[in-house]
Amino acid sequence: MFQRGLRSLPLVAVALALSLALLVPASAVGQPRDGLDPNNLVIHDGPGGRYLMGGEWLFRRDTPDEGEIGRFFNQRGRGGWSSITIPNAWNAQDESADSMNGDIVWYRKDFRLPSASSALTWIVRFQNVRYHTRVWLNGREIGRHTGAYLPWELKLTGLQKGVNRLVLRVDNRRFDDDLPPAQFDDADLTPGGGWWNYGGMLGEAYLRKVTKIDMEEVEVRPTLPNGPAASAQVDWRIKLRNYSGRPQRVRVMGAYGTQKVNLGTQRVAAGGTTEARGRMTIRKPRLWSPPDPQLYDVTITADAGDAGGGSKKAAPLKRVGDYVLRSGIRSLQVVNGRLLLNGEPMNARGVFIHEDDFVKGSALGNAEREKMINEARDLGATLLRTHYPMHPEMHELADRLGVLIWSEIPVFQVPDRLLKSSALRAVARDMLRTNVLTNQNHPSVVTWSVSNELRPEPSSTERSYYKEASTLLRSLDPTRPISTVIAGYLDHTQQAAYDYFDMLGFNSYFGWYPGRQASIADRDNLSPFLDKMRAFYPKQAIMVTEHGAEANREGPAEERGTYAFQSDFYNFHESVYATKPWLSGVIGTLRSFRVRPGWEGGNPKPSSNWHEKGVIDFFDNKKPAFDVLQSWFRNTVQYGPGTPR
Amino acid sequence: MIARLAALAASALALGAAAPAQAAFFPSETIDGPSADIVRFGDIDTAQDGGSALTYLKRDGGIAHVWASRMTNGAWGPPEQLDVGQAAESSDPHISVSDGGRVVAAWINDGRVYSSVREAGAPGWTGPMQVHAGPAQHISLSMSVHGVGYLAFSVGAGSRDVRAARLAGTTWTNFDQVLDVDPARDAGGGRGPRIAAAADGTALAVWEEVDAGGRRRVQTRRVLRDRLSQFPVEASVPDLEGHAGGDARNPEVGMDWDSSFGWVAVEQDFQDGGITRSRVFGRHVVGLSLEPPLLLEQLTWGGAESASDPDIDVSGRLRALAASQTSPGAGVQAAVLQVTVFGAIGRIDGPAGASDSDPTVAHSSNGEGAFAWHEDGQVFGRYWNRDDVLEPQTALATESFGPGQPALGIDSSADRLADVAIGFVQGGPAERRIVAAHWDRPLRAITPSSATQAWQSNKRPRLTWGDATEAWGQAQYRVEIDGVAVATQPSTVLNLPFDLADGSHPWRIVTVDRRGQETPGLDRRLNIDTTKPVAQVSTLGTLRAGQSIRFVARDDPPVPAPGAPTPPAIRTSGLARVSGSFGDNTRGSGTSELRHVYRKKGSYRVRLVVVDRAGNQATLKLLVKVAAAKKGAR
Repeated sequence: MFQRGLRSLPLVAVALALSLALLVPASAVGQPRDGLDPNNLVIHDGPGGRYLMGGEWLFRRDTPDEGEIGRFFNQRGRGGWSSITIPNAWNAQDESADSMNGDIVWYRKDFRLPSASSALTWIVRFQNVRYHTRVWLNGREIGRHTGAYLPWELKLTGLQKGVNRLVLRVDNRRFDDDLPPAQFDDADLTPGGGWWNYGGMLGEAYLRKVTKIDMEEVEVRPTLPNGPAASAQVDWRIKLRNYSGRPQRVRVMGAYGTQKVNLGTQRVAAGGTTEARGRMTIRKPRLWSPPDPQLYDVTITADAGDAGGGSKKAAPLKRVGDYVLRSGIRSLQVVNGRLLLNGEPMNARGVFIHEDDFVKGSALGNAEREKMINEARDLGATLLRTHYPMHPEMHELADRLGVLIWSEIPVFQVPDRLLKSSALRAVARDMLRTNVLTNQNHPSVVTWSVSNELRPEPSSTERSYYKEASTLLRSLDPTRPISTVIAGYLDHTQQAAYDYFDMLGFNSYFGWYPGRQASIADRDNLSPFLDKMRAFYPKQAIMVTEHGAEANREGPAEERGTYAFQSDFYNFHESVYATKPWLSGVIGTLRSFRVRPGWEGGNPKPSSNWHEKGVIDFFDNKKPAFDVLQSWFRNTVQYGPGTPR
Repeated sequence: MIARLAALAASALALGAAAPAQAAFFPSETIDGPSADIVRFGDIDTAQDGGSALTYLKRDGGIAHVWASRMTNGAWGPPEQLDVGQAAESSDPHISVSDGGRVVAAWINDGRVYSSVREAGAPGWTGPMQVHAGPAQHISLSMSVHGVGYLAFSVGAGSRDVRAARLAGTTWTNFDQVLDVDPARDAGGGRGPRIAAAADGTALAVWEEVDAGGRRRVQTRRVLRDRLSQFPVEASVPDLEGHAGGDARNPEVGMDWDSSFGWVAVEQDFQDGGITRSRVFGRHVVGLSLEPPLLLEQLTWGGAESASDPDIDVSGRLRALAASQTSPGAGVQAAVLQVTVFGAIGRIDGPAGASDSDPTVAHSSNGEGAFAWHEDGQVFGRYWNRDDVLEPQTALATESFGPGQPALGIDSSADRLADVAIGFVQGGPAERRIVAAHWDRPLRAITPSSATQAWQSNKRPRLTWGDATEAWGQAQYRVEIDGVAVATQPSTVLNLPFDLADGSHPWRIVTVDRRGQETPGLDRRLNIDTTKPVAQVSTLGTLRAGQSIRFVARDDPPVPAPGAPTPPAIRTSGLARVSGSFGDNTRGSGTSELRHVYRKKGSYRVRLVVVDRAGNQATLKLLVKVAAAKKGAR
């Protein structure tokens, strides 16, 4: 579908290709110098002037935390450092408790700038570093960052001619204010919590060249205010930052497919920011949907010149930057307790995943992501969910392939005492905001989810978090449903706190875990439970956001943990879900992933540390339940005419 | 007010005297009898939520019938006959309760298996429903926490078979297949099969079965929703610690909520130095497997004692208690199968007993539980508490009811809060009683939130506190203020019906259960301040431009009425802030005082607002006259 967009924009595409080619330094033709590669970016969307910081990186562990004293940040030699590439999870195959608890590691990149022009500003962008990072350039600390899963940037100050040394101290030991926070078994302090605590530079890094003006935030928001059969409206908001030392006049132009819009000319003070905004109408839009994921190429250009002032004349405008992305036009609404995509009810089927690979841990490349999403599509899934924002490439794949994403931040089983912490709440707010700003242009994102499995009967602290988070999200993006995920228990009582949400996800392990007071032990209670939730929350769209049973061995269906039991479990659950046409979606589990040491997951004969509710094992083998789930998923009308109502 | 408090104090003292704190067994109370018609005790069951029921046999018109009593709000209800309309003798009554109050009973009448169900909230029992035409004997009944029931029983004469049936709603469905490993052999003998339902709606059955060589083995088989497992597993063993095994018998079974886990207890003969001795061991159920045997008693090989008649109660994974009796020494052996204590703990009865028998165990999902047994006409209990301590032996049979009757049955069960009920028979043949003794767990301590200690200006504050969670009866909360009980009520909210004087009042909640057991919470303070603070000018004499004027605020206690005795010093909330506009277009604020300098002579309208920490507010308005500055003043 993306190719159709390209064909409709031949001139723009050629012009863009030419402009990118002109930016490529001679040294980057052929083998990129120092691994700085402008041609093989991992992701498409983003500003021009990006260089993938590939090639060799240096790495060393620092378990005794002596790196600062030892001035690792200012070393020129390679002694003590080993050669690696990023993304890198330092503990990718280490399943020890120490690995789960985290450690301090250092990364270093020696590089020369692609251009020596002093007029340029250079920014480094990290896609995903977990969790606490300090950054030095040429021996001087230039910034710190706390958080994971989402990209962040630093302006490089103190660059020098010749080789520059970018050094990161990465600490993935988790504390009370991290998301998810550190959790320990009270008895012996073995690490608890959920998925594996992979550490390091789990995403790629980019060097970005900025010529005076940076398009720091780009929001391209198509809506269908008059219904799916009418014209679309696209709202634009571009946040501009002036990195030059003089006020700039900046003209911003946008193109949505073949249609152009002038977003005006702004004056941006030296070092300041401003926003360019605009609106356009797209007649007869090609709508994005899972079966027909139509995408439009979007290009934004910025032309700037010194603004002048006093006796000084304004300079003529010159091209200083561009930004590309792919956008899809679709509407999302929740009406009478049903999620509507382009006015049609959803009855999606999807899978829960973790960014985890047996060999690479969370440091996935595009090949692993493509494998995962293709496995999901092969299963018949049109919806993905995990506990944290997915890598941008996964969003782009989902856009292209017509897969929806339940986008969530890792406020996962956070105890009430920690959720009271203003520091943790600040981290959560920052993640909510960054997630929206990073991923809002993807048509695949179907909802912003604020949490997973806080207490089903919210405390005052949880209520206040729900209110704060939902209010923030609505202010950032009023076009998408806001959601939370709740552990489903038969004894759930109706909660007014969930009025803050448009969608509710219930994790459904009836017949697998006993649950509190054994309330979900008997699978025969699944159907009554779902009916009760429908009655409790008639206005919200309801999805089953997790279900599955562990399977790691052959054996009879009557023994938990066998492939036969898993097949029977999925078959039963899907048969129940099929009788609830009001469900907006159902999410199973795709693949194995690592979880905390001592994990049993309800399996009487568990595989240590491996979560095995997926229908594909760690080594890409499809379990028998794959076929069961595939049959149900493929035979479910998930969207459009024929969807159960 | 004082008179009212005095009256309340008197009532509180009376209450206190009537309700001493207690955390122990309560001796037996009569459920039915005394009567010469009481035949024997059946069994007792308690759901997680505290719902309890017991069943027994009692003659009516000379015919033994099935009776039951249900506990409602912590009190046993009147006996109800279940085998209504059945002319023949009934036997082997059993009962089971699930959360929410659903109760099922089963018995044998004229060789047939019957059942009756009482749904939660229903006005009565269903009439007897025939489950199986028999001829049946030795039934075992178990219902899951969600109300799915299972029956196992022996059918036939001579070479018996073990069969099972499943209850959903009020419909019993017999499984076509027999449970026996070899239907041609006698199965279900001894004291009969046992079955235990897991919370997931499946069950595990155990029974004795004679093999081709004539040896008695103990077999297990899962009973699934609509079928029997194809994988029976033998629980008896060929040998134990180097001793060759012989006949096995008297199996017991308990299941976790998750049917992957449970315990099977087995009594089996072993060769020991040329003689045959029986030992009792348990096997942990893990999936379809049974883990290696673990002895549930601390007898020694080569000794004189044998162990027999095991009982085991499972209330969660690695949460089980087990007991067995020994002979000829007449002892009771116990085992604790938990995370912190795992294995046999040895003999738990006093050494003096000559006829200790029929031990029973009850285990709660909170890790606590109780052991009980007959001993020389008395019934004793010991409590396994949350600190992994076995509390001292206590007599459970009320002496005036007559001796305990070991041949007529005993059983026990526990809820999730570790309330335990033990049912048995007391009294001689002419005055037998069906009785129940209890460990009624005292309510937990309730300490109101520290937020209730904030200063407030409401003389009649609204007091709230948390729920104490009571399974047996209605929790009562006694509210004590200044050491005086001011209310005893089931609600966790009290709108105080009288004024409190200014000051800091200690208060607490004492939880009281239906047996009068009291548990005090920690003291909190009710801090009342209804008196407005005051503000005044402290600067004396003529105020001149350029000089500082000082306004001072105080938060004093109330002034006693004229002629009233001087009260003891009382605390006040203290000042929160003082703020003012000085009349010259300037403002100021502080915590207890303000200072201001007027630059010019003139008259200024000053408005001061003083607020204390309880929210009381006072406003002072005054006109300040400022004279011209003295010559030379700067």
